[in-house]
Amino acid sequence: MPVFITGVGMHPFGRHEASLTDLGVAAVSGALDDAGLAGRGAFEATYCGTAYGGIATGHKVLGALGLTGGAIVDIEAGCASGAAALSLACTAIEAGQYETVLVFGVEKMPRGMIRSSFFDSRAEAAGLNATPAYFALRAQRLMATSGVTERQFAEVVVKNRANGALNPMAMFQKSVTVDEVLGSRPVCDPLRLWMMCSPNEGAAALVLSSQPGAGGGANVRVAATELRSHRAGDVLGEGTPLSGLADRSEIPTPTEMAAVAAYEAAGLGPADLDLAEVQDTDAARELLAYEELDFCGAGASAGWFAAGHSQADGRLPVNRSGGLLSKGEPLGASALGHLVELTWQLRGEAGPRQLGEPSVALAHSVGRGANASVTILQR
Amino acid sequence: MTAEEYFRSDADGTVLLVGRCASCERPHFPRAAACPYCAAREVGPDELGPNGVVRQATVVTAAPPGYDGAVPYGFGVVDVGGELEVITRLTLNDDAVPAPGTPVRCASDRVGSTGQPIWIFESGESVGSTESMRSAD
Repeated sequence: MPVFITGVGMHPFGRHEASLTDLGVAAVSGALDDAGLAGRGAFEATYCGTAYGGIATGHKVLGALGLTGGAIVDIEAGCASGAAALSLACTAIEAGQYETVLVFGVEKMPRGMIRSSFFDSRAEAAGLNATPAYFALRAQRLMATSGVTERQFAEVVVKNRANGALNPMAMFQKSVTVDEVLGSRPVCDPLRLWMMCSPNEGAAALVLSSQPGAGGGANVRVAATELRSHRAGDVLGEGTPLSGLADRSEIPTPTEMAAVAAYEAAGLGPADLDLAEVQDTDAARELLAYEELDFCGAGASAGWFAAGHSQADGRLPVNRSGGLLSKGEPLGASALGHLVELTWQLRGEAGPRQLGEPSVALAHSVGRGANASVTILQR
Repeated sequence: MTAEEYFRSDADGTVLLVGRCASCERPHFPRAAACPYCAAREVGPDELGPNGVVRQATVVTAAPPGYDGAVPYGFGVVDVGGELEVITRLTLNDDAVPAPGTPVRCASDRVGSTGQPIWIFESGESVGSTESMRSAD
């Protein structure tokens, strides 16, 4: 049974005075309005992605709207929380359990370096939870394996920030230059402050249905959505283990596993994609995703990026929304933010960011757990 | 995280306490109830180190949440025994970490106000971190 996206809504990502509940209310209201739905009974169940929201976050948001009564499930899967919520919602519709489901993600991240209960207090006391350092080490490894340069990390930021300058949902809506990025404060070599996304606040919501939307716009359906966790062996994988194998050649990453499954389920491949939103927690992470998602071969991300393929006028524009480098990352909402953007693109409603008439789009998220998701939307 | 779970020190140096799978024979650190690679439940104790080679290295310049020890400190990946890569603190020499390919040696350290035990790898020229309290001393 197909799953259609019949409504989308979003609260801008950034820093806000509004409460967590108010952020969720804005996104959910927008999605319900977009789907032409109103009142209790308009949807049968709700899946809410959040990592820092606390107990019953979904209930608080729906309670504020007078829309409780159906099943409400909160889901945590790190940066892929929203995608995990989507995956469960799609499964419920495909199985015939529900016809119309609300999925949303909402977050108000604490300021500063992300503190995660993943690390126990003794690991914290030992300084093993320096998350930016893990990103930096992974960036170094990509430089060694794929020939990526520090300047290219800056160029990824320039690309995404130029896209973000066109996005009213982004935290940063100002273009930057390579020199400005390279001149920003060093965090952990080789990464500088502007090469890393900002944990922040925001919400995104989708209405899913077994039936196409009633409006006259393009119908967007979920062609595939796959969620995978890590397999042990990569010392610098998002699972943030304390060790890995020196030879990890036969161990796929969670993103690779999710991508293979999603392409197979959709009956599509990388060559069919018109655009993509991928996890750019830091600039290196976006380049690594090109390889893991098979946009290019292993070790080929530097050349593929240099050829301009991921630019707005390239073969496969990546992070036309501005990515997390522009929007910031509210963990529970970020994956669904990808899907809201892609739905707008597939409908032809992305305003100044619109990329022609795309028909197939891919969204990717990966983070703590590790959890990785790949979703393919099709018009 | 107690020292006994992660490393052992004596006059010959510090070694990491790893698990080794009876089935696939691959090592993992720290020791776990089952092999993380093949899920076999027969895992025996083994040790790796003290010698290693730096694979990646960076400097942590801002204290992460819950850490009240000194900054900056070195942080990286070290290959031990040619078969396992471990996350580790690295000693700094003039605020610089040892470059990839540098031979390093495992030692024990204590950091922060709680004296949290932790393994650390140091290069030949290193004199140890400012907080170093070698368990072998």
